[in-house]
Amino acid sequence: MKPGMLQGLTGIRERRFWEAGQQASDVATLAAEKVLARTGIPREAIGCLISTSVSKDYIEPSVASLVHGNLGLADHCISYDIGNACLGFVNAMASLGMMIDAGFVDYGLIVDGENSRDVVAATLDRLRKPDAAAEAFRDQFATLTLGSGAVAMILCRSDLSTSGHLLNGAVTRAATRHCRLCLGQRDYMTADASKVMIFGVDLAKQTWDFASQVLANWSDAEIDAYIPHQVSQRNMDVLNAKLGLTPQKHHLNFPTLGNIGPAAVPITLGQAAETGRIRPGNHVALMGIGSGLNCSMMSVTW
Amino acid sequence: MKPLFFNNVAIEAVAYVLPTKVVTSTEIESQLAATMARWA
Repeated sequence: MKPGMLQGLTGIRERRFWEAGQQASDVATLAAEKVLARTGIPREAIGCLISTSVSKDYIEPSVASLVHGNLGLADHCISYDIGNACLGFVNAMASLGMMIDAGFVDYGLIVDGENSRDVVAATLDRLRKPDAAAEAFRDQFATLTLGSGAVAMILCRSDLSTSGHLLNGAVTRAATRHCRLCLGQRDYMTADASKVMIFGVDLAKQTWDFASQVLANWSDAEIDAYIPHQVSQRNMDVLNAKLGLTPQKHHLNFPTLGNIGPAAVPITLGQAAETGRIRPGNHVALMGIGSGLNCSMMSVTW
Repeated sequence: MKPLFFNNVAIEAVAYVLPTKVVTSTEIESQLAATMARWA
């Protein structure tokens, strides 16, 4: 164990923590208020609210219910949580997209608020104990990479949209024979990071190959930008080698945000748009993966 | 599961909020200095 190992092994220089006492619903509400203000869409137009936060205020009610109440959304707006580790947000986009295509909803809101402060603090407390073993450090190492953030996204019928950012299609694959490689609770997470990476990238390859068969223009040459779930430079290097991806097409923020769970893909998408990394008309690949293991890839025309 | 194809769905907007408190990896490691020295 050498000083500098945490950054050296992961490429993560820093991460961010909310102030003590801030809950998942509080910060998810902040992001939701921001996206509602930005679009000017009236609250009564929102027909569905989904939260995908791994962090939770309570076991019940849902984080979505708390955010729904905070926002003062209408009684006709359904709300619920979708939990699928780091993949939850992409799953929610697919689910809400189906509801919109089916005509049940015109506008829907997805939120995610991640708060890693407490689990990192609890992990440091355990590892500082005199009887802490090196194996505990290895098993809980991934916890020290976690960061925090909040994000909100509005999906709507494309004929109502002013953005023109189209959801084209999505594919998903599962490898739940590896379902116990990463186990997380409120104050404790253990992960076999090496196996998660190896089997996760294998699953990503299966998903990529399936997407290449069924989604239009799904190849490294035809995709302008990748918006991946991201946890470390090593993971990105292995992913790029296995799938044959051009590294420069990724928008990466893990060096300054750490692993922000299901918030990673939408926050990365937002930052890529803000910085001009993705432009109108670009073919953008959202690449989500979560412990379990589950993987989804989604085609977007920006 | 079969692939999903969307016919009439758009991402209207995305917005995010980040905490202002920044914690470096060096700071985290410094809290484990005694433990790491024991394992060295």
